[in-house]
Amino acid sequence: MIRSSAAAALGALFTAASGSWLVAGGWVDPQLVALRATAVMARDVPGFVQEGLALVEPKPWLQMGALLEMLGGPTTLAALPVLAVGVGGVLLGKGYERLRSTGWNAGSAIGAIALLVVHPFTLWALSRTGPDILALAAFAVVTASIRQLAEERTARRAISLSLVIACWSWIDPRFVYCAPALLPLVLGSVPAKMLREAPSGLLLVLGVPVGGMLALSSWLGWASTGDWAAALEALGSEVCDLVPAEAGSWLGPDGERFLGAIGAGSALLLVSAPVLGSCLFRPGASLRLAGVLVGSCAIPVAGFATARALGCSGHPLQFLFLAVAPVVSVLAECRTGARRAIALGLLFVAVAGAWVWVARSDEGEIVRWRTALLHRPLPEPHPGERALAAFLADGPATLLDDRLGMPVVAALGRADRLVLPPDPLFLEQLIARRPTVRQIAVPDPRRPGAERDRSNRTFPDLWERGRPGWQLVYDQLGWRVWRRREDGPSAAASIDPAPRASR
Amino acid sequence: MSAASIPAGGSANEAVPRLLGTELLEAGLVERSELDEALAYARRWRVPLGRALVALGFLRPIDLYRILARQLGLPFLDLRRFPVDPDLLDPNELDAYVAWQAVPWRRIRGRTVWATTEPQALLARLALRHPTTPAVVAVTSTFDLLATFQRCFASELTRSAIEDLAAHDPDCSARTVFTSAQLVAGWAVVSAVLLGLAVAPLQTILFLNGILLAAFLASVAFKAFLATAGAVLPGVDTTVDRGELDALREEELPTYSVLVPMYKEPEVLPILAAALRKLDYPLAKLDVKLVLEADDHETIAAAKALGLEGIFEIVLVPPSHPRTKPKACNYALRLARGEYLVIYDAEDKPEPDQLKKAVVSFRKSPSNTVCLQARLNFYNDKENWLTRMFTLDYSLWFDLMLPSLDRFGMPIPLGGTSNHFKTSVLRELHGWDPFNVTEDADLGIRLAQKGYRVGVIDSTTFEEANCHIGNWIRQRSRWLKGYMQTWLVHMRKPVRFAKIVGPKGFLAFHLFVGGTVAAALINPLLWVTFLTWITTGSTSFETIFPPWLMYPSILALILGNTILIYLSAIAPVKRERFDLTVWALTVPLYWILMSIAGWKAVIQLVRCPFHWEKTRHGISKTTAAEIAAAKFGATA
Repeated sequence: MIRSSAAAALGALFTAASGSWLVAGGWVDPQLVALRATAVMARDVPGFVQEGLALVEPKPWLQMGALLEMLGGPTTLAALPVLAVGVGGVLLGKGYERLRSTGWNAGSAIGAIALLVVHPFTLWALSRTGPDILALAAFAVVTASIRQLAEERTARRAISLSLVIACWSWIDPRFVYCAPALLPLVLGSVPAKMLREAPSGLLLVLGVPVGGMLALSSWLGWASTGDWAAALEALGSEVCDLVPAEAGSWLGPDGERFLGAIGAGSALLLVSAPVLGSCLFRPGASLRLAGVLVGSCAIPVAGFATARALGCSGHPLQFLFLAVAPVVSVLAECRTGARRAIALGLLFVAVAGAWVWVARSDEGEIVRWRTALLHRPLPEPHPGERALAAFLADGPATLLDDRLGMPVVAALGRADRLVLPPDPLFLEQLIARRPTVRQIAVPDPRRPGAERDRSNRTFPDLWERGRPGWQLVYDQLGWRVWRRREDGPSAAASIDPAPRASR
Repeated sequence: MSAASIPAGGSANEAVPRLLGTELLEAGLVERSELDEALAYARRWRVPLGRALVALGFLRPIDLYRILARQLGLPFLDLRRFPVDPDLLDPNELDAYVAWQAVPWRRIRGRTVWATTEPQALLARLALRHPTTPAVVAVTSTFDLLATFQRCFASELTRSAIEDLAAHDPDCSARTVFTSAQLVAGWAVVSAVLLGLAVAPLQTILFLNGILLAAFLASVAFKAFLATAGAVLPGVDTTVDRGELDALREEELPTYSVLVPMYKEPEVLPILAAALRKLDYPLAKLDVKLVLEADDHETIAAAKALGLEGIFEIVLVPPSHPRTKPKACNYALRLARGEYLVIYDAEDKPEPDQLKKAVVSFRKSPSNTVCLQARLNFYNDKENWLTRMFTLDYSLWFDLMLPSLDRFGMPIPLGGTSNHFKTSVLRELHGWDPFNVTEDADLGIRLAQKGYRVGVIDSTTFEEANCHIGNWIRQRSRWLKGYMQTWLVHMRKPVRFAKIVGPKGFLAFHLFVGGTVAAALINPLLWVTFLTWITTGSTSFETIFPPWLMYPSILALILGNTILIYLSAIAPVKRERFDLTVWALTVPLYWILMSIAGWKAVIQLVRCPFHWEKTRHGISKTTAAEIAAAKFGATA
């Protein structure tokens, strides 16, 4: 007999071990880099009030990181993995508990959880010990809430779900893409009387929390950039920003790769076959519940398809790992030994299939992750950004957009000589279109994600030709730095702030 | 009846008395079928047959007591024709007289003759008190006895209704609106602000802005916490299930007093009578008292004209100041006979099983639970926009927030009606504060301050929602004034209060009672500031709202108001009143009314703190239909 707490402890241990293994393999997580950079910016960039407020944007771990950055740099990078290990433990412990509460014996439950853990989707989230595992936990709560609503169909559950979804929308940018797939499940599960008598009221009850969160994001965008729509745009592009991946298109040359990912994601849906089958062929069984469970598994797949169709260039694993959460609910609904055996068999097939897909994938980040897992030589991450950071360390004030500049800030470890977006000076430079800073760092616009770099967007020829009166002082590994000549135009109005003391 | 006809040294007839039922049948006062039915009920309820007959409306009380006297061989006293000798009455014994249902009538041949409705019990009591002196008793009717209490003890009842709390527990009485210490503290705060404005105006304004912002956010966060917990937490409602109700043995149920204070609202009496008749509680164990003002002739006449059954009694409160509902309730409280007591408004329609649910809840609650608040809602919610808003308001308050306050052990300000009490504790605390115009909210907090618990039961009383804006503002201004009184009373000794209710309760008191008033007062100022800023684009606000204050203020405005609208939207969902949710979008207009009422309350607190803004009832179209239905039900 294994207790839930022991299962949770084992889960935490496994999460920590897989994370350590990955780091030992040379893995540097881009999300942690972004976190570290944001925390540094919060500490060093003027206009901290606005930035401090912008920290309330949909990444709760950012606030934590900023707080820890005040206490000392290294803790920032350590804190999130520690939190993730804890959440990983709770998640696996709860999964085990759920299976046991529905009649699974300890051995079968451990076996099912073990199969889930070695599934590459789960391992992706667990081993990276970053925000993804928090997103997985949030999605697990969402799917559990949908299931409870489908089972009870009470107003209390509907309100509860609306609040849970609001929290999810707050902490996970994937929500934007998954919401359309979520809607039919919610509408199919709310009390029929509610839907029949007051559809507008229902919309209000379910929509206001999410709408409030979006309004809050909009306000944050206004508070930090002066643009009400900025945060919403950021919310939509968050996934792409986190991991700028190779461009893909729906039916273009990458179509096969995309469809392969969908196939691998959908393989997990096979696990729900016994439940669906039993509902279809057993009188009195709840088709609604079965539909909701299967639908929950499909949400991440649909979310990924939506993101891809909308032109987001994220890679499949950014979404598909979420599908693991509802699979536990599906397994819990397999109430007979035969169905459990079938479900476990299908899960095994799904695991094997997903590993085959991961092994064949050529998505940059998946390849790096796979390489790190296997402890094979991994190219140094962000070499261009590290080199640029070294160059900028003792130079004059430099304008830098953080969209691709996060690794630069993280590598530099301070931002007192950078003019970054939270600094009002940054916007002034772009709005006036007459930069007065001494230097501008600009990424190669051909790099993925560089087209959204605000320097590139404001000055389309900056990369190629610079500005009149400016000279190229740095050109390495996808970054250029243009410096204004001392005798050039607007030299008299140049800004070269003295280094600001770090707090 | 003359004094000489009282048997000297007499007691109950020692011969085997004839059966009461036989006497009544022979006298032609009841039918055989009525007697059989009453006998069945008397056994089921375990009450004397006579009381069952009266409760069922088969027999007039005066006829019962006449026959009872004959049966026992005792004289019957008509106290209206032969009133008591006032010199024999001891005001200090009033509670005993009420408990015994007896009064010393006159002295005859050196011995006191008692008039009572319960001769055997009285004889036993008197024998215990004066074992060497045989008692002399006569029978009288309950109405005569009640009339005697009121006539002879009017001044004592009035004095105690007004003075008792202020005399015995002055710290808890709102008779003094502001204590000296509060005036000094208020003066000090105002002086400090003025001094600050003179010396460092900008910093002072920033400080005040910051305080307002923090208070607003705290209040919104607290309400959001309470309401969402009330809406989604399983087990937040203390429920009494059907099985528990069925397990109740009616013969074990205690007497329940029902006080219905009324003033100038004769039109709604039929609703009340119909609703009380529907109560699922042994009628013979109900002690219903219509508490009327003695100069409210219209309502008195209407009550008498209804021909109410024997369970209804009319208590007439002599005119005196303050003319408040709590004073009237205190007056009637001394005359109540029930182990438990509940207050209903005249137009109330409690759910029939409410009293039984209260009994079950009292029995299964901790022993310090001395009050239970039933939920309130409206039967005319669809009448107009205001009634819909009022329904949302009440749903949020009674369905979501009060259960949460109960669940988390915080003080509960009682709502104006359907408060169920343990009568003895209520008397011990000297009842309601007659100088507080929301005596109910104050009493809830006072109970917490005395270490007692107030709970919430899952039974609803339906009322008439105010459907006229003027009437609504009058009512709400009284409530908000009462909240201010309550806050001031309990902040006289804040440290002691905090020690008793704990930090959680202390915070809840400020956010719930103080926050409700503050929100009503401050909201218009914030909105006007915001709208002026938006419409004029003025930069002059930038000085008093620098970025570190402006951004959170706008956040508070947007997010805070969104949250409050959302809470209003989910409020009716618990009752599956989904049609009301969309109306929550208009709740900001309701807040304007709230603010008007709030500022009116402030003015009244200074000018006429004890003035009772009377709420007119019976003005709803739905109420007219309810009255017609009640009248039809009574005649059918």
